Amino acid sequence: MRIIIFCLLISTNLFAQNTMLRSRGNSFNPATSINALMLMENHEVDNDEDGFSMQEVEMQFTSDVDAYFRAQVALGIHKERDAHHDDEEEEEEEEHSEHEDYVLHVEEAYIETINISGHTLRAGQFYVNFGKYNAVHTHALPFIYRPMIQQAVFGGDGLTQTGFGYSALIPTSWFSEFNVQIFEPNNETLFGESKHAMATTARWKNLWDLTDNLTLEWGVSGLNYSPKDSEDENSNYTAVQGSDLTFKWRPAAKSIYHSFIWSTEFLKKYRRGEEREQLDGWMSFARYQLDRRWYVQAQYESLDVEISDENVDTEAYSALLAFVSSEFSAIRLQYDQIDRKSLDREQRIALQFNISIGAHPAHAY
Amino acid sequence: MLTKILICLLFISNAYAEFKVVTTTTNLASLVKEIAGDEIEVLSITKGVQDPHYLEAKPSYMVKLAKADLLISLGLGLEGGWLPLLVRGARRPELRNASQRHMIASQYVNLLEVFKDREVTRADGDIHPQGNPHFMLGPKNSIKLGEAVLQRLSQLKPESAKVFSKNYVKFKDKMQALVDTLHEKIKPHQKVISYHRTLSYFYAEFQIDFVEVLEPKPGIPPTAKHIMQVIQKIKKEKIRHVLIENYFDDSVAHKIEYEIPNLKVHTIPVAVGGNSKINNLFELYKAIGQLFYE
Repeated sequence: MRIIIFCLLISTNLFAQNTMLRSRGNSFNPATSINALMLMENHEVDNDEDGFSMQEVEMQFTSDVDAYFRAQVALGIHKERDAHHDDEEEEEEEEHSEHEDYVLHVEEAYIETINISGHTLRAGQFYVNFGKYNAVHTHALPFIYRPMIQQAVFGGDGLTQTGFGYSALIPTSWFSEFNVQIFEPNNETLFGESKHAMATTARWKNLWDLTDNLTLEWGVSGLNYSPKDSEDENSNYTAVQGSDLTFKWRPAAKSIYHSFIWSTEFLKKYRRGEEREQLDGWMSFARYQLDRRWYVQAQYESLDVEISDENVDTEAYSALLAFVSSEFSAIRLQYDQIDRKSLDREQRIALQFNISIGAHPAHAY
Repeated sequence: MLTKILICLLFISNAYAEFKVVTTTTNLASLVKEIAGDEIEVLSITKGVQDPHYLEAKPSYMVKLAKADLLISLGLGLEGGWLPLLVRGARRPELRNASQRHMIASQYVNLLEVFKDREVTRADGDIHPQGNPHFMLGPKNSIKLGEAVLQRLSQLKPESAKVFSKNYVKFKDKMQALVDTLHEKIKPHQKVISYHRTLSYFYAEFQIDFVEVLEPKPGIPPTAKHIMQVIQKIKKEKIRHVLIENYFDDSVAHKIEYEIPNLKVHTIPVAVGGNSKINNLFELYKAIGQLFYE
């Protein structure tokens, strides 16, 4: 495995030539960027995660395939997350786990149409367009960790699935986009096993310019997975609903020095079948840009989980200070206080170094 | 119900009827307005007070691009952080690359600061190796680009070609007269410092010596060490003018002014709409040129 990762790193370096070379004849090669997140974390109670580690290395390749499609591939290398293992597997792992295990994970590999006016069709594996933050890659998340509610609903890696998607702008005077995706339900946190059944999501996103400096974004999302026998109380069935609201302020004059964001997302999941689970929660954060390169952020999260008539409420408070030295590097310091109502209260501090090399990053608004 | 939907759709399609040009900057928009007159609707994505390097890909711009008959961008990577996202979001295949509906202005002008001798890396800062993208600040380039815009508009809207042609001649004559006046009044080889290499084309055209920039590298905010070197240079070379583009913080320049009392620090607009008095390219070039009148 390590050899494969090493080879991939070497091969991507070959692509990451500077812009001069690209313009001189390598323009058919994919635009390549590599993002590395180094993390130092320390939990109040001793934890295996404490200390320095590589949070994630992500490689992205983007290129037009031909006159009809563009392709995007994102490969992530990160520490293996806790999943459901049987005892035999765990024993086997223990024997071989002298070092931390890193896995290569296909985050995205999809094609998208480029020659249809007004419409976009997508096929492959992609971050499902649900809510404002599921489709955001780890290095672009507002905080160091994926929001607690996102992790509870979709799992630690977010919801990335294989299927088809369609999206279009609705012809209104404001920005209004409709997106529907149909995919194979492989995410263990969300779906039970059922053959020949697909899951569907739909998202409606709107954005209004309240003034030249202030925008309001509002979106609603829904996910449904109901195999044929879903009327049976014990069969597999999953439904997720979400809504998000974001205000963004950035003055037109001297716009690179100050900005403010206030964003809130609410998610609710109901699942039955092999596992029965009902949860809902929300997160809300504010970010203020103090100066050209300094940002302060604060976040509140709430999660209410009900599994087999047992209720677990969790609240978390986070504060973050970021020094963004350029579009390609940043250092972020985050403090979290996680309060599991029926269990314990924990504090955590994390320092993250975020670097990007290669193609110019272009992040969605 | 169906009839109502059809009527609504008809109204929506009518809204597309007027010829619309979207430009990435107000300087390009001003040029198009001079040539097109009242024949077409022109709007710019960035505002005159905004730094076009760092615009966010606001989805409301996608709505504007979705309705554009022609997009005019500067090119050279200046809009690379946001324009591709906007075009993708607008779902307009013909705007993705240079095409009949997407005019990349840098292809029609004379470029400065092209890196031919060595390869550049990110360590050189936010650099544009294929040339300085602020070419709209050179009046000669605006005349040259104006001719290309005239041709493109005439191809896309042939029924107005005569009006466009007449407007262009008027624009060209007026601009040439302004250029002649500026040449007369600006004493050559005055030394100047700016925050960023935004005014290279203006300085080159009027033989103003662009001695130094306050940024140690493009896109990198001034450091104390670099400013100390700049202060020494100002003293040694007896530099009189520091021009700060008004989308940058001018506090560093005023600190230098405090150190060197004879120095003149001017915070200036570098795009049409950069302040309430700058409504077109003529007013913009004149406002910059006046600072160097004898």
